[in-house]
Amino acid sequence: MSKVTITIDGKKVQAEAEESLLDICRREFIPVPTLCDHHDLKPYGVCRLCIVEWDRGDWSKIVTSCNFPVKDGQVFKTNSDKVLRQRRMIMELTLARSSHTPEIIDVAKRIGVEVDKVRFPKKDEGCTLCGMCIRACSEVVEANAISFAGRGPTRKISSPFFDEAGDCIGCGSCSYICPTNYIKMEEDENYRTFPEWKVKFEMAHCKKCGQKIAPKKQLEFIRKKANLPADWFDVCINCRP
Amino acid sequence: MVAKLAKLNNFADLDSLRKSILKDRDANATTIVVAGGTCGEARESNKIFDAISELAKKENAKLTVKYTGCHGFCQREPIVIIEPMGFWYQMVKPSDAKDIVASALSGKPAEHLLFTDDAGNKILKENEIPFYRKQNKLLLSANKLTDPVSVEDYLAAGGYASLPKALAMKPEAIVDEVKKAGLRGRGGGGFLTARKWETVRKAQPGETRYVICNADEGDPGAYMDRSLLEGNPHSVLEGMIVGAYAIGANEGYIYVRNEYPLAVKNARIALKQARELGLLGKNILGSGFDFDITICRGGGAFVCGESTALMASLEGKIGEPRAKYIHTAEQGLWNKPSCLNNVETWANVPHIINKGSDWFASIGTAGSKGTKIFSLVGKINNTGLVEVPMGVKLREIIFDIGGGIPDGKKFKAVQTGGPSGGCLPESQLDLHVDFDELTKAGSMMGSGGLIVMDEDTCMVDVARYFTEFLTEESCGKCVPCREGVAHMLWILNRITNGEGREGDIELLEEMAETIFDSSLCALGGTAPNPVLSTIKYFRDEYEAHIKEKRCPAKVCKKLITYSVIDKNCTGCMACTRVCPTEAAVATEKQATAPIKGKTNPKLKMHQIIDKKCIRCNLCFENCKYDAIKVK
Repeated sequence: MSKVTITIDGKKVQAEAEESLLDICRREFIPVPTLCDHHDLKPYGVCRLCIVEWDRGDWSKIVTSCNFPVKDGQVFKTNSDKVLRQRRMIMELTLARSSHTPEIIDVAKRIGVEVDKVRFPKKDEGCTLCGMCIRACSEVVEANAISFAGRGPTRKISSPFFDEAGDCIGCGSCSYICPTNYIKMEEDENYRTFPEWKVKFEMAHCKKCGQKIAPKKQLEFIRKKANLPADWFDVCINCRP
Repeated sequence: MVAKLAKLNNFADLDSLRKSILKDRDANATTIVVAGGTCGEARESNKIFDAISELAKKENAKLTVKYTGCHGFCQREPIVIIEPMGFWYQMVKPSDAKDIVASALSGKPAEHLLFTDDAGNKILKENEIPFYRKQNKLLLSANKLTDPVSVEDYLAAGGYASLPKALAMKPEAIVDEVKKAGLRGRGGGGFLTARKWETVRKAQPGETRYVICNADEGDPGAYMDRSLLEGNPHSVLEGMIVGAYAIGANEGYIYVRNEYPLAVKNARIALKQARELGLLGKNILGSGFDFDITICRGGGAFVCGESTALMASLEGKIGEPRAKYIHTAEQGLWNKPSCLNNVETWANVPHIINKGSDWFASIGTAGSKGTKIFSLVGKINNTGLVEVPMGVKLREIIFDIGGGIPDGKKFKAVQTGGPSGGCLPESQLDLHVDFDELTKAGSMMGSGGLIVMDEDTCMVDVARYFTEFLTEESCGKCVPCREGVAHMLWILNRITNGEGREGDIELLEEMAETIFDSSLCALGGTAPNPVLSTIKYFRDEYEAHIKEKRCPAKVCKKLITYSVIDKNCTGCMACTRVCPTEAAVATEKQATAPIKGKTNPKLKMHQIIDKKCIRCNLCFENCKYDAIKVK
């Protein structure tokens, strides 16, 4: 990869060619708000909050920084009036959808949206459709147990046919990564359940100390994938010799 | 055709096959051509074809009966032509078969089937009809005489002639030729085709690359790609073969919506024939070039006409677009360089190779070359497919070719470019239609839909209709399109329901800016066009809805009321008879004819009960004395 020089808000910045503009901004401590970005996932570019203005000289274009691969000599503005105005509109739309979600209200306040003056009908959807759960399940876990269903305003995160997610291994990545804490994971000594995916998993316990480890299906999934011995997960990590 | 076609091994084989087909054909033989296609078949053209074929067989005459694709003049379907006399018959019924066969045998026209112009003159031939006179049928002309399932017909008409020429050229030279021709993509964006080809050619050296034909035509009221693919599938294949050779692709896809069964069927037949002839497959015509095409049927999502969504769908994933900061020409289908062009674009390619770039560039305007097919629909006398050179005035298309607005109504607007295009008013009628002019006027070429609206159309309601379509067809991936367009619809619904507020127009404009700039794909990025263009040209209508709670065109049901003008009413009860909800009542004079046996003495004679009225407009339409008032 070759080095390039780009300009962000008037400041010359060194970067790798094709590097994501958002990564560069973060490294340079230039604040860019995001709702669907996660360092372990590929950029998805749907929340549109990370938009910046790409200055082309006599004209400019709004681009999302998360999935924008930079080239030498490019010039960007991250806080022009246009960018800030459009970010507020996008956030107002997101806020109208998830009007009771604390995480969303917080981001909206931070970028200057008047939270109690939303001009659109308010809904109370905990899910912002950022797709992190689905992307974590497919890109990181590689279980591909969940997906999106529906189109336009009816889009939803969903298990296959809104029924039991047969390929779910119960790892809980979707729940851990969910930025609005919408995907619930419930657990007691013997079972872990995901109401959203209509699944329930039996937990494995350490044969030595009796400590709860993880869902049996998840351990089996990891064991097969990593080609580990059959008895590998009989004991917990603390009791392993 | 049952017999397997013999494989053509070199250019000379193709030439001699063409010659032998032409030799076997008598150019002067009487041929009855029945125009088929999806639209024709909807009006029983297949039955007409069967009836004529049967009669022709019975007569044992030397008559050839041919079934072709769509001829474009939908308003007058089904169409039958008798060649070589050129008799042009319209609105034919299966029962007319006898007259048609008799006319073919006698060489005399069947008067009652001829087209009559405004002055009442009978017109004998196609090119004398006003609808056809101003057209330049570069692509659609083949639909007239070619049976789409007969490769012989296509070859006889000079089909596949561009292959020997192109395959003997250097690929770069083909790209150059297309560049000089100035061909721009017909699918919507109007991107220079050759520039796309060049990028694909140069991207990722040594890697697999693909050519794709976009036949996912989803605009309401647009059907030019369907007519081309079902009427002349070989022309699309020929274009794709040339394009694939030019960019170095060995695999191609036709992504066609499954709602076009005839197009799918005819394209499949064409593929099979082309493979048998060796025009597809390994070592095409001995040139050493390998290429084949697969048909992929789309599920009918509007967004799958967008290049990245189409490719995602081809890959078997959800048909959702992705960011295009890296073009599909560099990383498209399966991340390989991919050249996606529209049906019409591909069909233009053989013509450019055959007749040269200079010839092609001589048609059209400075920035837009060649012809464009429009589907002219809506409130227009001559509904149909219209192929005109770029640069023709909107007025010529709508009034000279389209024959103007029916029932003597006034023209109000024309929507160009499909749902995400814009509405242009009368003041823009002298606009020369090409890619740049339409964009400048706040609309777009799109794939070529032209929806004409008359004075009875409410422009706010039109914007609402298209916004509703786009809301439903948004894939829902990104916020501005999913949430923004849906909220625009919410505002428009309020306005048309009489609940518009001060500031709604400004809010719509503010939302439009963000949706326009920051949506992920072109569907979202153009979704505000119907709203913006109607606000731009018909702002007074929005204001009438919002401030006066009045719909000037008298369309928005919540804003209109029906009443009876007593002095005009004769008590004929025509309104009472047609009213589906018994809202139009006539009581006093009605003693002799009570409605369903009941009379109500409290009611005045001839009155419309607002509570019961569903604003169906039937009373208004049926009143012969102008006694119904719509306010």
